[in-house]
Amino acid sequence: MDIQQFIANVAEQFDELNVELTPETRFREVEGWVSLTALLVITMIDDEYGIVLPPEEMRQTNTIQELFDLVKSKK
Amino acid sequence: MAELRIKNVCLRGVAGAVPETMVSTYDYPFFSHNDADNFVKTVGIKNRYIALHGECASDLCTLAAENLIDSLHWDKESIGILSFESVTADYRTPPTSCILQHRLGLPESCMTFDLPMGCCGFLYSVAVVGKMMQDGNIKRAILLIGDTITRMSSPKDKSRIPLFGDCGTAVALEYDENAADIILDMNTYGKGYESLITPHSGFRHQVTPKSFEYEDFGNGIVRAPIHSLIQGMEVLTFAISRPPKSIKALLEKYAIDKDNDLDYILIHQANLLIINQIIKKCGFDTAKVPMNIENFANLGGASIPMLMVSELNQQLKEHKKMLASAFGLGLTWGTMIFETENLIIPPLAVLHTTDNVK
Repeated sequence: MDIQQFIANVAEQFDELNVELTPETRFREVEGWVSLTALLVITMIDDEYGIVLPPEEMRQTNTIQELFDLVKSKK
Repeated sequence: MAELRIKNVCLRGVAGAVPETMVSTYDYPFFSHNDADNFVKTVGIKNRYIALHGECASDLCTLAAENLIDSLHWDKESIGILSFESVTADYRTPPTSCILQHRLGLPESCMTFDLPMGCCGFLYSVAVVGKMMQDGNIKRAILLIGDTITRMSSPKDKSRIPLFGDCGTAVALEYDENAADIILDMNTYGKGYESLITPHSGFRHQVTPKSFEYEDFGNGIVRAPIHSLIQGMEVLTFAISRPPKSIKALLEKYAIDKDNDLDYILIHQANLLIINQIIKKCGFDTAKVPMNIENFANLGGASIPMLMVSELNQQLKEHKKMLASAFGLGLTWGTMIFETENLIIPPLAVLHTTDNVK
């Protein structure tokens, strides 16, 4: 799993183009994050990584890195 | 898997009715134009019919049932079972199906019961009534499936109210020794019951003044305990995981080829994201998956019968083999494989507020 690719995949779920994300970004604080974005991210992770994240575990992640690590731990 | 195989029972007709008021996603005060654009693109819902004037599911189902019985030319005396699948009954007691036996002019020899099962309601109705009919003593049944779900939600809950629409449907089953088997697989994940729940108004938490006190949960979610709620992430993860497994298992067990043996795949119209995930995971050809979510939204248990009314009324004049997939409240999910021929489908009816609402 590649963190840069993961960041690009998450960025695609935002309505805004050119959203700037890094591993340290707290994704829920990014402008344009709404509850629908969470559903899109879950769906993207299912498509790209074959993992359906348990919502209670996803809620405990704050940064992109933490979300990435959670997905990686399920692989 | 809880598997059921129903013999000697055939689907004869389906009818649907909607209230006259249609609301656009762009009409909601809590959505900006951009929010509404995103909602339409992602969730897939542009319009929905809503029961704005106190119409009940029973009113909509009555209209659908009258049209269906007329179109089938059935003698009402020949109907042995009337079921009413709904979570929006007229009263806490008595069961609405009893009231409807009288309202529809069905004979006293008719057995009636309610089934409050939510989004899998069509599958439950066919499973329960179909199994009761297969020994041939009862020849005909009318299955009513409908809800006024928008009346359960807080008008200020952005996470819930735009997802649903109101309607009533009626389905006719008949004993027929030449009928192809109806195959079902039904499942339950009770651990997830709080993902779709109406906290107050049952006997666990009876109605008190507190039931009507609104609370702001953030993210545009303002509701009271009397209102139904949805935990979007929980429902999404459930719906993209479990139904595809049930579908694949049933197809494999009965050696049914999804590309060559099935004419249509009817997926509960809950949310475009979920529908598309199920299509992808099962590898279905999208040309075989009719959709009406754009103009009806999530109709609960009536979603699948309404798909037949709104999208397949011409196609189902011929013999077709179909797979239906539903998931929701409970949480429950199921798959049904069935065949129909010359299905009678009267045009979608509209209940006007000037009509007699009991």
